[in-house]
Amino acid sequence: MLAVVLTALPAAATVSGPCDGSGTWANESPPLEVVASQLAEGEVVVIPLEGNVAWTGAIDLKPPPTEARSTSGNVKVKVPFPVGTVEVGTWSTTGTSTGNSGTYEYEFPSLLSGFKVTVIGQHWEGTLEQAGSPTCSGEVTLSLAGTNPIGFIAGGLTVLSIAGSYLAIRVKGPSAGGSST
Amino acid sequence: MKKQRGRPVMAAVFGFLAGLFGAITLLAFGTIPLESPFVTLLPILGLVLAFGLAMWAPLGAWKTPPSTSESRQADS
Repeated sequence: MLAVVLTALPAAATVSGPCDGSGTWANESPPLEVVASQLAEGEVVVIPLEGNVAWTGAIDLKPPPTEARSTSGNVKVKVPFPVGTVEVGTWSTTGTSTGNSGTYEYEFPSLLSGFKVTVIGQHWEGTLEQAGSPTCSGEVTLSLAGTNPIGFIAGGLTVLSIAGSYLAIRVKGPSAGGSST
Repeated sequence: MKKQRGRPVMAAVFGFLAGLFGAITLLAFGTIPLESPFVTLLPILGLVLAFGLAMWAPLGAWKTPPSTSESRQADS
Protein backbone atom coordinates (compact mmCIF):
# COMPACT_ATOMS: atom_id res chain seq x y z
CA MET A 1 0.00 0.00 0.00
CA LEU A 2 2.60 2.49 1.14
CA ALA A 3 4.89 1.38 -1.66
CA VAL A 4 2.38 2.38 -4.30
CA VAL A 5 1.88 5.79 -2.73
CA LEU A 6 5.61 6.21 -2.55
CA THR A 7 6.30 5.12 -6.10
CA ALA A 8 4.14 8.07 -7.06
CA LEU A 9 7.09 10.09 -5.78
CA PRO A 10 10.10 8.22 -7.14
CA ALA A 11 12.25 11.30 -6.87
CA ALA A 12 11.21 13.80 -4.28
CA ALA A 13 12.41 16.68 -2.12
CA THR A 14 15.96 15.89 -3.13
CA VAL A 15 16.11 14.54 -6.67
CA SER A 16 19.12 13.41 -8.63
CA GLY A 17 18.96 12.09 -12.17
CA PRO A 18 16.49 12.58 -15.04
CA CYS A 19 13.45 11.22 -13.15
CA ASP A 20 10.30 12.90 -11.96
CA GLY A 21 7.03 11.86 -10.41
CA SER A 22 3.80 13.24 -9.11
CA GLY A 23 0.81 12.40 -6.98
CA THR A 24 -2.62 14.03 -7.13
CA TRP A 25 -5.34 13.74 -4.52
CA ALA A 26 -8.28 15.02 -6.59
CA ASN A 27 -10.88 14.38 -3.90
CA GLU A 28 -9.24 16.74 -1.43
CA SER A 29 -10.54 20.26 -1.06
CA PRO A 30 -8.61 21.97 -2.50
CA PRO A 31 -7.05 19.17 -4.59
CA LEU A 32 -3.54 18.26 -3.47
CA GLU A 33 -0.89 17.87 -6.15
CA VAL A 34 2.70 16.95 -5.31
CA VAL A 35 5.36 17.11 -8.02
CA ALA A 36 8.69 15.68 -6.98
CA SER A 37 10.87 18.11 -8.89
CA GLN A 38 9.04 21.12 -7.46
CA LEU A 39 9.54 20.25 -3.81
CA ALA A 40 11.98 22.27 -1.74
CA GLU A 41 14.77 20.41 0.03
CA GLY A 42 13.62 19.38 3.48
CA GLU A 43 9.97 20.09 2.68
CA VAL A 44 7.54 17.84 4.51
CA VAL A 45 4.62 16.66 2.38
CA VAL A 46 1.45 16.27 4.43
CA ILE A 47 -0.83 13.68 2.86
CA PRO A 48 -4.34 12.65 3.95
CA LEU A 49 -4.80 9.60 6.16
CA GLU A 50 -6.97 8.02 3.50
CA GLY A 51 -7.64 8.83 -0.09
CA ASN A 52 -7.29 8.01 -3.73
CA VAL A 53 -4.05 9.15 -5.31
CA ALA A 54 -3.35 9.38 -9.04
CA TRP A 55 0.37 8.78 -9.42
CA THR A 56 2.85 9.11 -12.26
CA GLY A 57 6.54 8.30 -12.60
CA ALA A 58 8.82 8.87 -15.58
CA ILE A 59 12.43 9.01 -16.68
CA ASP A 60 13.57 11.46 -19.37
CA LEU A 61 15.96 9.44 -21.55
CA LYS A 62 17.61 11.05 -24.60
CA PRO A 63 17.30 9.50 -27.05
CA PRO A 64 14.24 7.49 -25.94
CA PRO A 65 14.94 3.75 -25.91
CA THR A 66 13.94 1.92 -29.09
CA GLU A 67 14.96 -1.51 -27.90
CA ALA A 68 14.03 -3.31 -24.74
CA ARG A 69 16.40 -2.63 -21.86
CA SER A 70 16.50 -3.77 -18.26
CA THR A 71 15.36 -1.50 -15.45
CA SER A 72 15.00 -1.98 -11.73
CA GLY A 73 14.45 0.00 -8.59
CA ASN A 74 13.21 0.09 -5.07
CA VAL A 75 11.51 2.19 -2.46
CA LYS A 76 12.79 2.23 1.11
CA VAL A 77 11.64 3.79 4.35
CA LYS A 78 14.18 5.17 6.79
CA VAL A 79 13.85 3.75 10.29
CA PRO A 80 15.89 4.31 13.47
CA PHE A 81 19.41 3.03 14.05
CA PRO A 82 20.55 0.24 13.94
CA VAL A 83 18.12 -0.95 11.22
CA GLY A 84 18.61 2.04 8.90
CA THR A 85 16.18 1.34 6.06
CA VAL A 86 13.36 -1.05 5.27
CA GLU A 87 12.47 -1.92 1.68
CA VAL A 88 8.76 -1.47 1.05
CA GLY A 89 8.68 -1.87 -2.73
CA THR A 90 10.81 -3.07 -5.61
CA TRP A 91 10.58 -3.49 -9.37
CA SER A 92 12.62 -5.26 -12.03
CA THR A 93 11.54 -5.39 -15.65
CA THR A 94 12.58 -5.29 -19.29
CA GLY A 95 11.03 -3.05 -21.94
CA THR A 96 11.04 0.28 -23.75
CA SER A 97 8.69 2.10 -21.40
CA THR A 98 9.99 5.28 -19.77
CA GLY A 99 7.06 5.99 -17.51
CA ASN A 100 4.16 4.56 -15.59
CA SER A 101 1.00 5.83 -13.98
CA GLY A 102 -2.04 4.64 -12.11
CA THR A 103 -4.37 5.28 -9.21
CA TYR A 104 -4.30 3.81 -5.77
CA GLU A 105 -6.75 3.91 -2.91
CA TYR A 106 -5.29 3.67 0.58
CA GLU A 107 -6.30 4.06 4.22
CA PHE A 108 -3.96 4.43 7.16
CA PRO A 109 -5.07 4.09 10.82
CA SER A 110 -5.33 7.36 12.74
CA LEU A 111 -2.65 6.09 15.14
CA LEU A 112 -0.10 6.85 12.42
CA SER A 113 -1.15 10.47 11.94
CA GLY A 114 1.54 13.02 12.62
CA PHE A 115 4.44 10.61 12.14
CA LYS A 116 7.17 11.91 9.84
CA VAL A 117 8.58 9.22 7.59
CA THR A 118 11.43 9.72 5.14
CA VAL A 119 11.15 7.66 1.99
CA ILE A 120 13.91 6.94 -0.54
CA GLY A 121 13.32 5.95 -4.14
CA GLN A 122 16.02 4.60 -6.46
CA HIS A 123 15.92 3.56 -10.12
CA TRP A 124 18.54 1.77 -12.22
CA GLU A 125 18.69 1.73 -16.03
CA GLY A 126 20.29 -1.11 -17.95
CA THR A 127 20.40 -3.64 -15.16
CA LEU A 128 18.11 -5.89 -13.22
CA GLU A 129 20.53 -5.79 -10.32
CA GLN A 130 20.15 -3.00 -7.81
CA ALA A 131 23.84 -2.45 -7.34
CA GLY A 132 26.16 0.49 -7.79
CA SER A 133 24.99 4.07 -8.20
CA PRO A 134 21.35 4.38 -9.30
CA THR A 135 20.41 6.32 -12.43
CA CYS A 136 17.90 8.28 -10.40
CA SER A 137 17.37 8.69 -6.71
CA GLY A 138 15.37 10.92 -4.47
CA GLU A 139 13.89 11.21 -1.04
CA VAL A 140 10.92 12.89 0.54
CA THR A 141 9.61 13.26 4.07
CA LEU A 142 5.94 12.39 4.36
CA SER A 143 3.61 13.19 7.23
CA LEU A 144 0.10 11.86 7.64
CA ALA A 145 -2.43 14.60 8.38
CA GLY A 146 -4.08 14.88 11.78
CA THR A 147 -3.20 14.85 15.46
CA ASN A 148 -2.06 11.59 16.95
CA PRO A 149 -3.84 10.57 20.20
CA ILE A 150 -0.84 8.41 21.08
CA GLY A 151 1.17 11.59 21.61
CA PHE A 152 -0.95 12.67 24.57
CA ILE A 153 -0.96 9.19 26.15
CA ALA A 154 2.79 8.79 25.70
CA GLY A 155 3.32 12.29 27.08
CA GLY A 156 1.42 11.39 30.25
CA LEU A 157 3.35 8.13 30.60
CA THR A 158 6.60 10.09 30.15
CA VAL A 159 5.72 12.34 33.09
CA LEU A 160 4.80 9.32 35.24
CA SER A 161 8.04 7.56 34.33
CA ILE A 162 10.10 10.64 35.18
CA ALA A 163 8.28 10.80 38.54
CA GLY A 164 9.08 7.12 39.10
CA SER A 165 12.72 7.75 38.27
CA TYR A 166 12.81 10.66 40.70
CA LEU A 167 11.48 8.48 43.51
CA ALA A 168 13.91 5.68 42.68
CA ILE A 169 17.05 7.81 42.70
CA ARG A 170 16.41 8.96 46.28
CA VAL A 171 18.43 7.18 48.95
CA LYS A 172 16.74 4.09 50.35
CA GLY A 173 17.10 2.81 53.87
CA PRO A 174 15.55 3.49 57.27
CA SER A 175 15.13 7.17 56.59
CA ALA A 176 13.91 6.69 53.05
CA GLY A 177 10.39 6.22 51.79
CA GLY A 178 8.82 9.09 53.70
CA SER A 179 7.91 7.01 56.74
CA SER A 180 9.80 5.71 59.71
CA THR A 181 7.21 3.14 60.67
CA MET B 1 31.06 3.90 56.07
CA LYS B 2 28.63 2.35 53.63
CA LYS B 3 27.79 4.58 50.71
CA GLN B 4 24.11 5.37 50.50
CA ARG B 5 22.34 4.99 47.20
CA GLY B 6 18.86 4.84 45.73
CA ARG B 7 17.23 1.99 43.85
CA PRO B 8 19.38 1.67 40.71
CA VAL B 9 17.45 -1.14 39.02
CA MET B 10 14.07 0.54 39.55
CA ALA B 11 15.53 3.86 38.46
CA ALA B 12 16.97 2.27 35.31
CA VAL B 13 13.59 0.76 34.41
CA PHE B 14 11.75 4.04 34.94
CA GLY B 15 14.50 5.93 33.11
CA PHE B 16 14.23 3.60 30.14
CA LEU B 17 10.45 3.98 30.09
CA ALA B 18 10.73 7.76 30.37
CA GLY B 19 13.05 7.85 27.37
CA LEU B 20 10.90 5.42 25.39
CA PHE B 21 7.63 7.27 26.00
CA GLY B 22 9.41 10.58 25.44
CA ALA B 23 10.62 9.39 22.05
CA ILE B 24 7.12 8.15 21.15
CA THR B 25 5.70 11.54 22.17
CA LEU B 26 8.17 13.38 19.94
CA LEU B 27 7.43 10.98 17.07
CA ALA B 28 3.67 11.25 17.43
CA PHE B 29 3.73 15.04 17.39
CA GLY B 30 6.06 15.04 14.39
CA THR B 31 8.87 16.78 16.27
CA ILE B 32 11.40 14.22 15.09
CA PRO B 33 11.27 11.97 12.01
CA LEU B 34 11.10 8.21 12.32
CA GLU B 35 14.77 7.76 11.36
CA SER B 36 15.99 10.16 14.06
CA PRO B 37 18.73 8.70 16.30
CA PHE B 38 16.81 10.10 19.28
CA VAL B 39 14.33 7.23 18.88
CA THR B 40 17.08 4.81 19.87
CA LEU B 41 19.17 7.07 22.06
CA LEU B 42 16.53 8.52 24.40
CA PRO B 43 15.58 5.21 26.10
CA ILE B 44 19.25 4.24 26.49
CA LEU B 45 20.12 7.72 27.76
CA GLY B 46 17.22 7.59 30.23
CA LEU B 47 18.33 4.20 31.48
CA VAL B 48 21.98 5.18 31.95
CA LEU B 49 21.18 8.58 33.46
CA ALA B 50 18.64 7.27 35.96
CA PHE B 51 20.88 4.34 36.93
CA GLY B 52 23.84 6.68 37.42
CA LEU B 53 21.84 9.14 39.48
CA ALA B 54 20.47 6.34 41.66
CA MET B 55 24.01 5.07 42.33
CA TRP B 56 25.26 8.57 43.04
CA ALA B 57 22.09 9.62 44.91
CA PRO B 58 22.79 13.35 44.87
CA LEU B 59 19.29 14.14 46.10
CA GLY B 60 19.80 12.29 49.38
CA ALA B 61 17.02 10.63 51.34
CA TRP B 62 13.44 11.58 51.99
CA LYS B 63 12.95 13.68 55.09
CA THR B 64 11.48 11.54 57.83
CA PRO B 65 8.27 13.04 59.21
CA PRO B 66 8.09 13.39 63.02
CA SER B 67 6.98 10.23 64.79
CA THR B 68 3.52 9.97 66.35
CA SER B 69 4.81 10.38 69.90
CA GLU B 70 6.83 13.43 68.91
CA SER B 71 3.75 14.88 67.24
CA ARG B 72 1.67 14.38 70.39
CA GLN B 73 4.32 16.10 72.53
CA ALA B 74 4.43 18.97 70.11
CA ASP B 75 0.62 19.27 70.20
CA SER B 76 0.55 19.38 74.03
